[in-house]
Amino acid sequence: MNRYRAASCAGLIGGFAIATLVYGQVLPRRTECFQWDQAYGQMVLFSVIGAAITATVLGLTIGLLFGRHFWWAASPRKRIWVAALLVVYPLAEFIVVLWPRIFGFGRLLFSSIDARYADCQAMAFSAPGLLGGIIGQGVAAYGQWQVISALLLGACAVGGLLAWILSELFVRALGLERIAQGGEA
Amino acid sequence: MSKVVAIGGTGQLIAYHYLQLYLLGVVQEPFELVVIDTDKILDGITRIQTFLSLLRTNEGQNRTLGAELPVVTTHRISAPEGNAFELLSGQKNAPLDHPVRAFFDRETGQQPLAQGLFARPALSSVVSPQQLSDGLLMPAKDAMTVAVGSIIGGTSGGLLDPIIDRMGLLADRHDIKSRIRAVLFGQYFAPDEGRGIQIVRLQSNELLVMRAAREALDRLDLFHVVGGPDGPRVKRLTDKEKDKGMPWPDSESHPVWDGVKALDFLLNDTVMPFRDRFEDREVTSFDARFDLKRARQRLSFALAMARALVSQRVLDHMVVEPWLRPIWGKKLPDLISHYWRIAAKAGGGWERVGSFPGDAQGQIETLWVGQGDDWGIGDIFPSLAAVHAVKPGGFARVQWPEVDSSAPWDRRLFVSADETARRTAAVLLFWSLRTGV
Repeated sequence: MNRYRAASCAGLIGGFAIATLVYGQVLPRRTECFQWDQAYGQMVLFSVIGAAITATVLGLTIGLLFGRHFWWAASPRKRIWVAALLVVYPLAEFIVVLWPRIFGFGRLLFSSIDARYADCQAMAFSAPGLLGGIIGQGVAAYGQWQVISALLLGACAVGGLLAWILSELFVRALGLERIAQGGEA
Repeated sequence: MSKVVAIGGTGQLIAYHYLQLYLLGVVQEPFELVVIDTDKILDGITRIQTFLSLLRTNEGQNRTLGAELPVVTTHRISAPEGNAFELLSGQKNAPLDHPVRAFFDRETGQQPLAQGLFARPALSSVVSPQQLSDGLLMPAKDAMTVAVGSIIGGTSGGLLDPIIDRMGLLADRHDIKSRIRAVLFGQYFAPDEGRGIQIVRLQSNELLVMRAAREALDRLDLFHVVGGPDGPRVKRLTDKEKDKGMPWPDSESHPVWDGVKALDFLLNDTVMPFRDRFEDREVTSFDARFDLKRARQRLSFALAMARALVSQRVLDHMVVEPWLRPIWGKKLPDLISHYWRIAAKAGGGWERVGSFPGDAQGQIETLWVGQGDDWGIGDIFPSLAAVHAVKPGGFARVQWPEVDSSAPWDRRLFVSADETARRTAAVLLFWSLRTGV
């Protein structure tokens, strides 16, 4: 009889422990959410800056890579916008917005953020917001995907614009007209 | 420079194809071409003639940047009003005892000359007295001179022998060393009985011209006969077919294509010796330098290149390109810069020619497509539905000419910035066609 009591007791304790563990996974603590949100928000910030820089650099160099092979790449103005809006933006959007929704957090690029971060958007944890609190304070960064998409698009557009300005400056300094003016007929 | 004298409709056709082959880069060597006919000169030949004149860098020379150009001269023998009887006897129907009756039968004598010669070679002596100057028929110095025409038609049947004979006399008189040769077209098409031209007359013409050649043309060095009594017959091109986009011969054995290859062989062969017997001077077989398949391939590449130059607006891209040389190579930007400098001088300063590449791009389109009824360069060639895809890098591989900035340019040709843009467009089209791959 005593053996039955002891087994029942152990079962109850084990079940309680498992329930506690499961309950603990479903509902992360607020401090954890805050940390993960901060990490994701920082990643968004770096991605926005990175997208702008990449759009500028790729806009200026994509001609070198593909200019001899594709007509769009041989057109300086067209290729800058192709690089910024059709290459860099979709790539950034995929990495920052789509990746966590498809593959989840907790691995590769998002290894510093726990897989349970997605559950934080239903919780109130004083989220710091995006871009150092300028946008969406109090709302989890993960839930602000529309704003993040717009930020990435804007960053790519700014990068493209910068590439365009630099390209025009290079043309003035090294372009066809400069070559023509450099010689004597 | 070798010389081609193309006589009559068949001569024109062969000359036209040969000019096309030159523009496509199949024929590399420049040549002098004289086209003589009582009929209208083909629009395609006239278009190529004006195109070549646009390419010149100096009015006194037939050169463009990097190449010597063919020289094309056309001469339409103006047919007088009336008929042969009227011209020679003063009466529309010459009296039976008039000497002119000894040379012309009634039908020939009464043929209205302005309507054509209708395969009557005897009439060419009436319509063309003294119309052909010595300069036109002067043989090529230290090179080949090749006459091309049909020996069954009216114009060339009547003019071929006298012209070859006169070229021989001019060579002797001016001590010119030139080998005079001929591509002679016998019967190669079915006669148009509806126009009153019967097959028996064509056969008679053939016999007349060849006999006269054998008896009188000592200076004829070599000749090739296309067609003849046993040769294949093809459908003759209609006037409409000779218009824009004239089709090419459809087989290697087509008489017209055979004539084109024979012309090329006779212009360039320096090996075959002179033979005493007239019959031995006939070239019955030869190694052609090109075939129809290769020529069609070149046509396809050249058209693709020229169309890409027009449709992709290459110059518009280049003017805003920071990576000019990695994408477009060195020579093309240098070439455009060279003409831009000329435009700046012709147009009165850099501030007035800021849009020069765009203007030249516009001129490329105008030249290629034409304006209204005016032919474009694209109209010269057969229209191909499918052409090769061209990548931008293809333009870096075109053999653009090296630019010598110190070389003089003729202010009489480059009179304004617009004219310079037109000539630049012509040069870009010329090299794209000839060396584009």
